[in-house]
Amino acid sequence: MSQLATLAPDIIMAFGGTLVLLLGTRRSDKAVNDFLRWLSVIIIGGAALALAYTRPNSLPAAEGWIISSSINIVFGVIFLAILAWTVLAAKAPEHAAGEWHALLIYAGNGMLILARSGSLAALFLGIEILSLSLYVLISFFCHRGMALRGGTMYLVLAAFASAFLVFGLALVYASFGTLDLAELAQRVSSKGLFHAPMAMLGFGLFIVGVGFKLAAVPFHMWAADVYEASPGPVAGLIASASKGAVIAAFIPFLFLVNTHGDILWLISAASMIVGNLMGLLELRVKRILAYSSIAHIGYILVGYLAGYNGVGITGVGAMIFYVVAYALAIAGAFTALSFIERDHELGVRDLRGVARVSPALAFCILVFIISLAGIPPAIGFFGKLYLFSAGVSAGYIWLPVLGLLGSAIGVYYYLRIIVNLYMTPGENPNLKISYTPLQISIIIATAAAIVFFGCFPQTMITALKLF
Amino acid sequence: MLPAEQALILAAILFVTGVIGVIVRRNLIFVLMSVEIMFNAAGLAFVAGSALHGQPDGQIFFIFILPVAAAEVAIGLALAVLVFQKYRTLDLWTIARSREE
Repeated sequence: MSQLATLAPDIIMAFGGTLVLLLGTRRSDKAVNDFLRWLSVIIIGGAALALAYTRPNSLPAAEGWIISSSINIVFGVIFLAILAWTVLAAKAPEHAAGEWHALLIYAGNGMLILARSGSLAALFLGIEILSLSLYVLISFFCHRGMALRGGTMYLVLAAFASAFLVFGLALVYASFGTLDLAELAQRVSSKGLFHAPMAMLGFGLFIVGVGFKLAAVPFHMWAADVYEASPGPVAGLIASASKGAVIAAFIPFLFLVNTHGDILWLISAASMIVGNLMGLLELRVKRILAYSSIAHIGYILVGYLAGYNGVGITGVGAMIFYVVAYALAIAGAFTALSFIERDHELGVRDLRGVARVSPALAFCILVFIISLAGIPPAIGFFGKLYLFSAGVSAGYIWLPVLGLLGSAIGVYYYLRIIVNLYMTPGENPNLKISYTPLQISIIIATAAAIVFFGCFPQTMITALKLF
Repeated sequence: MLPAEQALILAAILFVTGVIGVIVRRNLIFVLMSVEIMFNAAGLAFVAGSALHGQPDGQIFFIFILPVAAAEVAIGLALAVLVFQKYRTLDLWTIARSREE
């Protein structure tokens, strides 16, 4: 019985998603679409409540596959909140609202499993459920060639990476003979990894798979094309919650810092530098955000390398803080940009005149971009501060320095967006902005939250009970 | 009976075959097939590992790999149909290069 209580969030999400899918098969009109949207929000909210009321450290469910220590619960609630946000802020396609919402809920289920995985099998299943939903969501508007192309590219590369990941897990299992993460960490620390070349290789392949899912350099090639191809809110979801979920699932592997620390160091440094430099060369907005998200993964890995080191704020705590801070900004930015309707890819020049047509939207985008750039008073500033200070106190000097350098470079392309947003336009008659009152109020609320938490970061730290 | 170590070596060979297939092949269908080979190599490695340690976890994992790989290919083939309808080709390089909208 107590096992069922622990599994309740997953059960709610799985059955709820299917319910939404079945209801959506009717010919949809606006009322039905709105009903499905709110039903999805209720389902996600129900799952979040069930999760929040799970007692921390209650019995692991399903043979130890799902664990619920407080860090797992915090992560799970965060992802469900981002998902509900996406459902509310996104413009659901009129012809297939049921499928759209059901797939979002399934993706959320994958994230939920990832956030609480206690075994290699749960980790694999979570990643796959998440990816399978994302394949379809990316190419949802498949009459557009770009969406089809992006979805196909993501499918091929992600499946390739998943195969690396699962083969790596297989090698790890063959060396240590356990799927349980806690047990695995124990055996690794008692036996040591250096005497088990097969496990070393296995963890290496595992890092390749994870690196791909995070779009860390050198596994970042897909990011720009896929973000550009996918619908705005989905791109925001990939960049925020899906990466956050993979990070959450990666935290039990902190012992890898001892053996694969150099590789992770290189990945982190390369992501920060390459992501920001590539962003400089780009003129299309979604691609700029894609490169910035690559750089942000580099920053987050600094926190990962710091692990449980840190004065006051541990690296892991800083990571959780940053995942939230970053998710607010990137999901907000992608969704807000999707309100600007274009028949071709959105370039920075297309942003001219947005401030005049819709000052509120322009200001919100400004807040999101400032937060991404890490300029106070937005929350992104404190996120970076905590990450880098954790990195310094863990004894890494160069990573924070590189991170600061990278952020400084990044300011240039962030400013380019802002300048175009507010530049007095030559006429931009093609500019069409459309949003519902619900959408714009959610975007404004998000921007307000970014500024509020940026001024009072302590409130969020206590809310997350991190440090 | 095949010793577990040899099964692991076979799994590694299969995996490398799949990797080469994905890299060399340009046709979407064949790329999907190669990915499938990689998944099954991982499955074989899991079964070998479970034989090595005399416990069933690895075999259970393999049962989970099967439907995941199948779902992966199902979506891949659905996309392949759409791609072929639009571009009249399944060559990944041609598709990636076409920039017309």
